[in-house]
Amino acid sequence: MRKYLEVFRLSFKMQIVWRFDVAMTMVATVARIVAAWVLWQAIFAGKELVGGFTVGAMLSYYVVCSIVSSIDFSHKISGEVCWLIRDGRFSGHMVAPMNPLGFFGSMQAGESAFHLGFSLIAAAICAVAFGMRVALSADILQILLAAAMIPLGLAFMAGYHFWIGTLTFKFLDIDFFLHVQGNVIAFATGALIPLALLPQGLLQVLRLLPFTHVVYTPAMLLTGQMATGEGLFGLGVLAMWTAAMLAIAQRTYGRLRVKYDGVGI
Amino acid sequence: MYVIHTKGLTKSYRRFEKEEGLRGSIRSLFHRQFVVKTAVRDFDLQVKEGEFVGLIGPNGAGKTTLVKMLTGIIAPTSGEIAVLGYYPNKLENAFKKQYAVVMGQKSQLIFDLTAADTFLLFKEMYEIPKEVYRRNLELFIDLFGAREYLNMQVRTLSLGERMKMELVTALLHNPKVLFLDEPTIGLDAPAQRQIRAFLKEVNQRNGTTILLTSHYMEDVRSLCPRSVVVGQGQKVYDGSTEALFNAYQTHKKITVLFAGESHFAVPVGCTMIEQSPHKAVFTVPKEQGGAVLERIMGEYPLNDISIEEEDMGVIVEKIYQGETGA
Repeated sequence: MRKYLEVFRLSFKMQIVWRFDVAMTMVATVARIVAAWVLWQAIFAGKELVGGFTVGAMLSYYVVCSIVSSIDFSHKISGEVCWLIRDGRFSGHMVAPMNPLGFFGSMQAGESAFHLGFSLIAAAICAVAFGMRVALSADILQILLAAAMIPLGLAFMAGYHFWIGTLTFKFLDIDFFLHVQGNVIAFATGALIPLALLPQGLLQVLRLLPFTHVVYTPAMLLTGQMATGEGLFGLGVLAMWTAAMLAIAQRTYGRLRVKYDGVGI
Repeated sequence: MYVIHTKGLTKSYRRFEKEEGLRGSIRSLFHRQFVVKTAVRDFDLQVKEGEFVGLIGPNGAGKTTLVKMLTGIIAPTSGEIAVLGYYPNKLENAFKKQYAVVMGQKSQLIFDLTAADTFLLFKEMYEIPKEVYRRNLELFIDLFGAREYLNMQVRTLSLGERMKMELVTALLHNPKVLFLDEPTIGLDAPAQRQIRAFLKEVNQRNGTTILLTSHYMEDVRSLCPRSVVVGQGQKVYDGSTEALFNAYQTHKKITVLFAGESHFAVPVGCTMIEQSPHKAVFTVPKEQGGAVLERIMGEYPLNDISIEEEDMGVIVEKIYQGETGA
C-alpha cells in the first residue's frame, strides 16, 4: 500500500513543478465557473424554472458537477497506456514490482487531489467575487453518500480507462475506442447537461449504468436535488460496476500482456 | 544452481508485411500478410551466481530479445527458461524484486522531478528497509561522486550524469541479477570509465550477477571474464573473453617514425595502412611481429616505434562475421 501512496505523492509533486501551469490552472477553473454563471443567467432570463431547476440550483449543480468532473483524469490513462505499449516503454511497468493498474490509478489520484484543492479554492473565489450562492444539501447522509461515490467513481473510471488502454496489446490502434467512449461518457455522466432534462425512459436505462453515478448522482446529492434512497441505489450500482470493472481490467491485462513484443526497446 | 538457465529457448515474432505504395496498402486492408521471424533460436545459456557475462552481437542478432525474455517482458515461444528459479513471464513480484534492468536508451527516472524523488519511489516499490536504503544510497553516490546531482531536476542532467543516476536507482534494492543494455551508449570516455569502475565494484563487492549487452567492446573486454556471442538468434561463442579476443586479434599495428627520409618496403605478410617518407603504419600477423621488428630496427634509422593492439572495430567485425584468424 505504501508504494501506491508514494506514487500518489509523486504525482502530486509533479503537478506543482511548473509555477506557470499552476497559476493557469487556477485562472482556467475560475473562468469556467464564471462562464457558466453568465450562460445560465442568460438562459434563465425572465424564467423561474428550467427543467425543474431554479437558477441557484442549476448553478450549484454546475459548480459541483464541474468540480467533480474536473478531478477526473482517467482519460489520460487509456491514452498513456496505449502509447507506452506501442512505443515499447510499457516494459518499465512490467518489470516493476507494482500492479500497473494500481500505479496508474494512484497517479490519477494524485493529480485529482491537486485539482480538487484548486477547484475548491476557485469556487470559493467565485462565490465571494461574484456573489454566487452555491446551495449544498443539509442532509449529512446525502453528503456522505456523495463523498463515497466520488472516489468510487474515479476508481471505476481508472479501471475502465486502463482496460481500454490494455486493448492496445491486441489491437495496437485503439483510437476508435477512445473517440467513441469519450463522447458517450461525457453524455452519460451528466457532464454535458443535467440528466434530469432527458426523457424518463432513457434516464431509467442510464441509472443502471455506472457513468451516471460518477458525476451526476453525487452532484445531485450534494446540491440536495436527489432523494437519499436514489443515492443509495446509485452507490450500490456504482460499487458493483467498480468491482466488476477492476476485475475485468486486471484479467484483461493478465491475458493480453503475453502478446506484448516490446517493440522499440 | 544457476541464476540464469535456458535450454532450447526460442522466440518467433509474427510481423505484418505489405507491398509498397497505395495499392499495397489497400490490398493489405483486405488480404493481410504476415511473416514469421525467429529472433532467438534454440538458445542454451547457464550463468552462475556472481558472474559478469558480456552479450555481444550485431544489431538484430537477438540479444535484446533474449534479455526481454529473461526479464519476463516477453514470453518465449518454446524452450526452457528460469531466472533465479522463476519463470520470468509470470511476472511475480517476488521475482521482480530480485533483479534490475538498465537500458541505456530507456530511462526509469522521472524527468520533471529530482533523482532523489525517483529513489524514494523505488524505496517504497521494492520495500527497501530504511537502513539499507540509506547505506546503499550513500555508497553509490560516493562511488560516483554524484552528490551534487541528487536534488537537481532530472531533465537538466547531462547524459552521463543521468546514466549514473539510472544505475543508482537500479541498484538501491541490492538486486541479485542486473541486466544492462548499452549502459555506456553515447557517453564520453571519462564517464564510460567511471561507469565501468562502478560496475566492477558492484559485481565484486555485492556478488551481483551481471549480464551486459554492449556494442563497446572495451566495456565487455574490461568487465566480463566471460562472453557470449550471438549471431542470427543463435549462440556463436560462449567462453573466455580473453580467449575470444586473442582468437580474433590476429594482427598487431606497428607505427614507425623514421629519423630521416626513408624508402620503406612493406615486409612480406604485412598490410600497409599509411605511408610517407617519415612515417609508416602497417599491420603484421601476431606471430611475425618479433621478426619484423628486428628487421626494421636493423635496416632503418628510427626516431620512434609503437606497437598497438589491432583496432577494436576490426576485431568486432571479425567476431560478428565468424572469421577466425588464428
